[in-house]
Amino acid sequence: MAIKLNLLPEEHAVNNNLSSFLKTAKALGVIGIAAFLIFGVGLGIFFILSTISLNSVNANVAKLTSRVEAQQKSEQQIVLVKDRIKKVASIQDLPNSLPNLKAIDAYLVNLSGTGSVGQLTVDPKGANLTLSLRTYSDLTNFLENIQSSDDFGSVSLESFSLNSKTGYSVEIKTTKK
Amino acid sequence: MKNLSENVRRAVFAGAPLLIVIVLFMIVGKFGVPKVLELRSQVKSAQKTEEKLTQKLNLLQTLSSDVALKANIVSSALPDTNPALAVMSQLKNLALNQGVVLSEMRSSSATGGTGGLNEVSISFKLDGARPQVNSYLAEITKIAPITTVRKITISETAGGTSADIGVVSYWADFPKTIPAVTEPITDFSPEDKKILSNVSTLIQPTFMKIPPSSGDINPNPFGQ
Repeated sequence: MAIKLNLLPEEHAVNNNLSSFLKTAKALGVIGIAAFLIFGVGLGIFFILSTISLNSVNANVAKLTSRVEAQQKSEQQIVLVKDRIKKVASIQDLPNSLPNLKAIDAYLVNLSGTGSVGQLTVDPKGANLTLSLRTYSDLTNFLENIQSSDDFGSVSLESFSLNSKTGYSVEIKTTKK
Repeated sequence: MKNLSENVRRAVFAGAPLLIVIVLFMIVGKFGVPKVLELRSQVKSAQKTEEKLTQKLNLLQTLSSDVALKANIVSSALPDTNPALAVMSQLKNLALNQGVVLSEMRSSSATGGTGGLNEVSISFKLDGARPQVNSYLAEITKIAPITTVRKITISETAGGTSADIGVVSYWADFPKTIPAVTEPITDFSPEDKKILSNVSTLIQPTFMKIPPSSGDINPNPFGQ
């Protein structure tokens, strides 16, 4: 049977709990130093690579910036064209009388021989028409056509009169659809 | 007592490296890591700028070939100054082409419209046959500067058709600033191209150039 000998003086003796703590602390210290070295070196390499990358990208950005600046005239013209296009598009939404004239004119073209236009006023909201028609059937045909159409928001007969020489005289008001 | 101090000394010596490593980790974590993260964020930001600039440069190089022509066309359709004179000239030319008689032309004072657009109203009288008057009115939409018909009053007599017309033409200040160099630009959308195509078909105004007078030169303009 082996005999354990402890030749250390009694004041140098270490109790068992402390001994295991010291071993653990030493091991952790070594692991920590190794981890820190790996971490530190890794971080340093990452820092250097990032700095190189940043410098390279910044140099390219500076080169591109000068090339874009050299095209400034083209850019100004593009901005101008886009601005004008936007404004032209907004003009297209502004009031215009021509669609209303076109809508009512389609009915007046068929009038030839049966009646005549006295006065036609067209604005962006609608049209106001004074019309003379010779016979009652001309009048009813015209009114039926215009009232049954889908071209107007509303059609109203504003005034109506009969003259034995000229025939029927009517005033019609239409509004935009 | 001596035994206790020996134990403390050993514990301190054994724990010191661990403590130093923890402190070093804390220092590097506090200063080194944020620095590296900031650097990465700068790299990402610079890469984004680089990408934007590359796209912008490619687009500028593609569009630069015909953008000057487009700029001229749109500037003629919607100028930056009151276009009353150009519109009047266009309306007169149109009357000649359509065979109608144009008279009593007048322009009212300009007004500021919406969205940076300014408007000038022009009124005139037309005399002619009804089909020609209608054709004239339809052709107004085809002239540059852009002009819209606001009011039409047509009177028909045995002698023909007489029409009082009110039209409006527009102008707007040119843009005063261009976007920052790193600001991206976009290509023309299909709607933009459609408007450009419509605008490019407008009849351009023609002006007669009056050369400077070559008459007698007064040798002493400030003399008596």
